[in-house]
Amino acid sequence: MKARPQIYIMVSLLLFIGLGLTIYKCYVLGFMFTPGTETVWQVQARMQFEAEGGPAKVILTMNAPDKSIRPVFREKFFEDYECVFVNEDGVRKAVWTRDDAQGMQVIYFRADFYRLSPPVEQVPPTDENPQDVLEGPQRLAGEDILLRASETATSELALAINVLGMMDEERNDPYVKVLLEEVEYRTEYMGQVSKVIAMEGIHSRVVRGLRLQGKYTQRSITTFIQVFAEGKWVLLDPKALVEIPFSEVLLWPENTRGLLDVYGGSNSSVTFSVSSVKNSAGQLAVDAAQLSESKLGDFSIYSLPIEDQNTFKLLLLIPVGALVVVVLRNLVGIRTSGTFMPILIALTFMQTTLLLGLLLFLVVVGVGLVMRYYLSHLNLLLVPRIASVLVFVIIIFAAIGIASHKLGWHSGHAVMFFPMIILSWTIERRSVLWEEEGPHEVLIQGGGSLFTASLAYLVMISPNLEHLVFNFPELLLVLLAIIIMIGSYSGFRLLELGRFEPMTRSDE
Amino acid sequence: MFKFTTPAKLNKAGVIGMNRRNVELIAQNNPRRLYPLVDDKLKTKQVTQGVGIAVPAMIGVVRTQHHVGQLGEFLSDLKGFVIKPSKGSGGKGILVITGRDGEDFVKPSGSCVTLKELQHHVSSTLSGLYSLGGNPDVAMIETLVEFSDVFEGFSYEGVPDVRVILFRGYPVMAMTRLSTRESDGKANLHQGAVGLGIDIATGRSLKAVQHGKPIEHHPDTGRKLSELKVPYWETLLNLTSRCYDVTGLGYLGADIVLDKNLGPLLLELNARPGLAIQIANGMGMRPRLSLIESQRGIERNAEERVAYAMEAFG
Ligand SMILES: Nc1ncnc2c1ncn2[C@@H]1O[C@H](COP(=O)(O)OP(=O)(O)O)[C@@H](O)[C@H]1O
Ligand SMILES: [Mg+2]
Repeated sequence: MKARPQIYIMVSLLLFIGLGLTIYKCYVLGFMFTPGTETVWQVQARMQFEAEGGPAKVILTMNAPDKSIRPVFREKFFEDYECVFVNEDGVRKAVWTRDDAQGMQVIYFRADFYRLSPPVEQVPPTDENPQDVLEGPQRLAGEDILLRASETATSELALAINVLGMMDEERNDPYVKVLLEEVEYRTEYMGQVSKVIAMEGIHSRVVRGLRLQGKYTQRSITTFIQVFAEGKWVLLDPKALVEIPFSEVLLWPENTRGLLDVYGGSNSSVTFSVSSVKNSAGQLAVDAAQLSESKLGDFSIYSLPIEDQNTFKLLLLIPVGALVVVVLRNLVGIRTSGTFMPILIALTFMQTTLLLGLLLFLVVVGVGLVMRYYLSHLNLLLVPRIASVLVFVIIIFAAIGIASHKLGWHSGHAVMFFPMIILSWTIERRSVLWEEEGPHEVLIQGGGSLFTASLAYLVMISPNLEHLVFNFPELLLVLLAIIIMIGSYSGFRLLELGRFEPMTRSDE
Repeated sequence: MFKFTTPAKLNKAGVIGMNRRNVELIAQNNPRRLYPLVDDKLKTKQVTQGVGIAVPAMIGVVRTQHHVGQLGEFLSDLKGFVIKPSKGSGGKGILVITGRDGEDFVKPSGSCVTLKELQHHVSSTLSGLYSLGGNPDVAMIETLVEFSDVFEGFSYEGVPDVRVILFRGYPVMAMTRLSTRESDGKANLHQGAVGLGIDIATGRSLKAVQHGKPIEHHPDTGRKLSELKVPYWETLLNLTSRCYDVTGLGYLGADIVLDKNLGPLLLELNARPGLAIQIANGMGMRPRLSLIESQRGIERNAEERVAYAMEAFG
């Protein structure tokens, strides 16, 4: 009885560590519970300038901090340039310096990231009403435009979109002309749009950002307008006049004019290229964790080199198979021949697929049993006997391989995936069982083994489960806790409810 | 065929399941280090000899291939004997010789075995053909039990033995398994043998079940099963109870055969006895185990334990 408290302590400890780590990785490091892919955006800035021959300093204003962004890769170091990241009043900047720069200089800076949903925190405007600043003729022009825009608009957002469209497209309209009088650049009309809709009490702001779109594109920073309508900020595409999801834009901090400042050079320019790739969410979470130098993120299959990952993947699935065996044997009461033989068969099924695997297994074991039957007359000793069965098995493998090739049935080659030694032992055990207990018992145990193997296979190939054990190897501790609990379970097995059923009948 | 009951009903009937047997009975009462005493028949013989536990007498042990050559001479003036692997189980490798036909040996079936064949059998035994995992073994030669005829007509083939389950040395349940034509002469209940519960108090048969259903008569011989009474019952129980003292195994199964002249003899011990005995008795074991549990701390010798059990379980 003294073992009990020990078991409880151990199980709670295992559960605590295993589940604790899992939850931490999930909520803090951004690991995903379900498998999936994420779009990784690779944004590269190409900065170019003519150096004057002395020390050079290049400052790039970086995008606004955004909690939904998980960086997974950053190219930090550049030939001859030293790079530091600084934070000035919440505006992040990357600064490159070099002691002497001569001629044309090109600096590339690449950052890869993916986005978590939901993307952007919504901070509603602080003022009740936006500042209303238009005066005189501009105010009258604005009122007229609003009047026209509201004819077809049914909501604040639609109104804003209409105004935006009119001010961009109807440049010859006299009212629009009045409003755009002092606007230097064509693209700066959005500030005026903002002022016009403010007259209707609609909050808006002009922002700059990089559109994340397409597989590979050259892009420059563009201007967008954000409108606060129906209680949330909506980002509008000024050309297409539609809403753009925040996840498709990388926003720069408000009120940043030039992105690039260059000292000791001239003719500077920055261009961006954006490309996207799909990547497994699990891999990304680990990359992100590594970039932020979190130790726990390292404890995942994805932190291994790709070649080693596959080996370990299979290894991590074996405990799951073991759990299936434990459940079926100790909770259900299914008898199997050879305790963990079903797991090995299940692993084979993973290579051959289930039905083909079952078929090949039955053929090999069936033929093997017939051959072994002749051996039993010879009263051979154990080791030579198993060795002979092994030779039989290999002959059967070869026969199936060759026959299926001749018949053009290429799936037959899958027989090679079966573990030969295990199959030999299986055949040996079953034949002994047959002699001692009769065919009935062979059917029960053989059927039990195959059932267990099939179930273990079905569990092991489940993509969700695979994802879980690969990303959260600490769940193995939880698995261990469950196995220990089952190990100390002293209640009835499911099949015993049938076996002992006669004892609960009354004798009358 | 497939009827299911509920755990609550089984608990009410006091049934012990496999998990409880393993977790509570075996793990807590049978220290692993004591297993070899019962898994190796030679060791069992050695510890039971000279402490008042009757066993079929040992004639000799064949330990090396060298001994095999001398077998002819050694067996020359023996009529009946049995050769068995020390670490065998399930009847594997047991060679029963009931008489001689000139140089040859006669099996119970009447067929003959030559000395050469017998030597081959023994040397196979030594190299582990019949032992668990193919481990090298020794062959024991013991005297032939002359089965008493109390079981005459109660079994289709072979002579049944009596299985007694002991908990801390108290006999808690007993049964015998009668082979049938259906069970192919084997004594496994799930193969169709008849399980016959035996009253701990009297040695009389309690009830008989085949395939979990109560029966009155043996399906092949027609013998009325309630007529069976095991003779020398108290002697038999005393014998089994002493096995606890020499092995120290708290949950123990003892297989007893009845010899015409010598009475009850211990054939083998088992540290992991099965649970079918509950089915044969139509009764769960748990209330009895609890009663014995409550006797913890009271010192009793084998005879006193048996007397207590016969009184309590009548
Ligand atoms: N000394 C003996 N005399 C006669 N029959 C024997 C003897 N020993 C064993 N047998 C027969 O062999 C069967 C199995 O013997 P046992 O010692 O229980 O070995 P196992 O561990 O293989 O079951 C017994 O049920 C009995 O019928
Ligand atoms: Mg036996």
